[in-house]
Amino acid sequence: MTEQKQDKWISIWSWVGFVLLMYGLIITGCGLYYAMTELPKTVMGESNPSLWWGAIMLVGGVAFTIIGHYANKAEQP
Amino acid sequence: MESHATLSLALVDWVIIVLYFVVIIGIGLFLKRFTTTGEDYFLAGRRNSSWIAGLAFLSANLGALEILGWTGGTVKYGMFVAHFYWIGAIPAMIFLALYMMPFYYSSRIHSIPGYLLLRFDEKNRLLNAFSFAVMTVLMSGINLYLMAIVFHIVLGWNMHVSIWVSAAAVGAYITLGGLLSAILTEIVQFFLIWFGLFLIAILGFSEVGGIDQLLASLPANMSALWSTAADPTANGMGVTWMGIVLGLGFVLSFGYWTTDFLIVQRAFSAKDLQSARMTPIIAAFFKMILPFIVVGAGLVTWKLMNTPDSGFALMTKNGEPWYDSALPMLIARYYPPGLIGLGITALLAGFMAGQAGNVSAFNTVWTYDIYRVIIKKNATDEHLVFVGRITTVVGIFLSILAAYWAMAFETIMDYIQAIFSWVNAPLFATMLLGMFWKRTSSAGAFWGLLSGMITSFFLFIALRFDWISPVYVTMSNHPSDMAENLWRAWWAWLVTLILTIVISLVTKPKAESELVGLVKGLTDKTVLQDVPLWRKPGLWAIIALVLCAALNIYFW
Repeated sequence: MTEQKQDKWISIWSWVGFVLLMYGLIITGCGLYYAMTELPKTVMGESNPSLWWGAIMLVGGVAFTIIGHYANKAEQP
Repeated sequence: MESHATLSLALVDWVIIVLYFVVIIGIGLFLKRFTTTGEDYFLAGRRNSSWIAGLAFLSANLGALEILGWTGGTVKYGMFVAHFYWIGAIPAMIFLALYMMPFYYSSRIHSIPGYLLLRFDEKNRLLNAFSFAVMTVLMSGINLYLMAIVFHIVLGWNMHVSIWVSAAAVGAYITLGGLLSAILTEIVQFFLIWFGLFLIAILGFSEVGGIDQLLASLPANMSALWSTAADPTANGMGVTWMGIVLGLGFVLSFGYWTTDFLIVQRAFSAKDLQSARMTPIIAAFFKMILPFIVVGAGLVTWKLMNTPDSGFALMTKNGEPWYDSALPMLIARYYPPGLIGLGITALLAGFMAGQAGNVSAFNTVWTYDIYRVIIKKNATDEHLVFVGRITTVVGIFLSILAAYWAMAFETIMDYIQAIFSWVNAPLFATMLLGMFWKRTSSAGAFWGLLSGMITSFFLFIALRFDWISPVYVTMSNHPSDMAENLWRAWWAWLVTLILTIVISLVTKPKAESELVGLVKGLTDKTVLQDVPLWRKPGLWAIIALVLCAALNIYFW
């Protein structure tokens, strides 16, 4: 990697956190929508997997965003 | 090919898919400013931590080709598919970490052909470079083709649009950011694959009553890992334990994990030798968990197919059950809109990771081992980066051509494993002898490698056209295609090994002074003195092997 680091590096963990947060929000949103209207008619749909799996993704997203924050700090001179 | 679209996408699913393309191209655009030198572009700057390199190492292997193929393979072959994740991967990954990485990393090579040049000579390098370049383009094209097929049949997408849009996206982010782009998007794709597909296994196990209940309800030829390996007719793969251990556990596995540049290139991107050695070890732990997704989903599929009132069936292709539809059919069964988009994005991510990995490996080998050697010997670093970017674009177009060729000749799918055993199995013998026996001569290496490749190809043709009885090659009168692949790899490796030794003994080896750092015994012993015990690769390697053994015993 070049030594010229005028541009701020964004750690991969921040990108992972961003993606998991983004998708976690969408999936959890779907889950909330199903909970308020009608549960999906898929097999095992009564457990509303969108809601709890989306929540897990949100937790993962928060965790990686925090990891990415510290990784970014460590990269700064 | 007729589409039997079984999944329809809602608006939210399309949003999820489009956002994925925006993110990965955004990563490529962001990284362009950080990739200006050859080391940046082709080796990601050699600055990655062992975690980043390790996850990329596994993700480069974890394509949708494998996920779809092995889930479907489990429906056909049963629990034996787990061998490809346990004995067929873990020992080789540990061996790479502990014994081969010091030679690879310390010699500062850009590629496996680069090692062959240093250890042997130009003709060895060029033989491997050309065969590897052809293999990567074919594999990239096959990834594209399979992706187009899957999305056409399952979603009704136009095959040409699938091929060109996916190729354009991969081409964009690899051209912009080189290996760094490939690695960072592979990490994102790694998490997408886990979060997009692990839920299928969880819901599937829940539906059938849990893992133990599932295994107890399956016949022995589907649920046993080793207990049916004494007799080839007792297991779904038609192979004995000898074929699994020698063909898969040793030759194919070691040949792939220790010499396939696409994989090993990720370890080269690590910031130091300690991190490079930990790279395959970290990947090994995640590799061990994968059967719970892939094999688990496959066994659930088999169970549901054989449960009369489950309402589950595989799709058909040309009138036959299409095993690769197992995972898409499970997505349709368990996922509502939203999760469908996530599952499809996970598959897309897997296909594109496979394509990107092959293209980035191709551009490195072409630029450093062919272009710089034959065409422009005095190329500057800046020029090589420029050539690398052009090569990526050319590689993408060649992949598209290969995809259309595969479309025209469907039987090209039969050649995937044959391609691996032509290149990787004999190469493993060459690398093993090169790294551990200083007497190995350049002539021995070249003629041994070439003979092994020809042997593999000849056996493939001979078995396909019934020139020889399969019992002479596979020790079984009715081997499966997979059993043939395993045994063919073994014989190709053995031919390479024997011929390399014999020819080396009657030809002149290189002087020892030229082999320092390249051969065991002429390389400083690696001592990680300042590293605490909990960071030593050896400790984690032992833990990984013990876990792998425990899994094999538990699922015996």
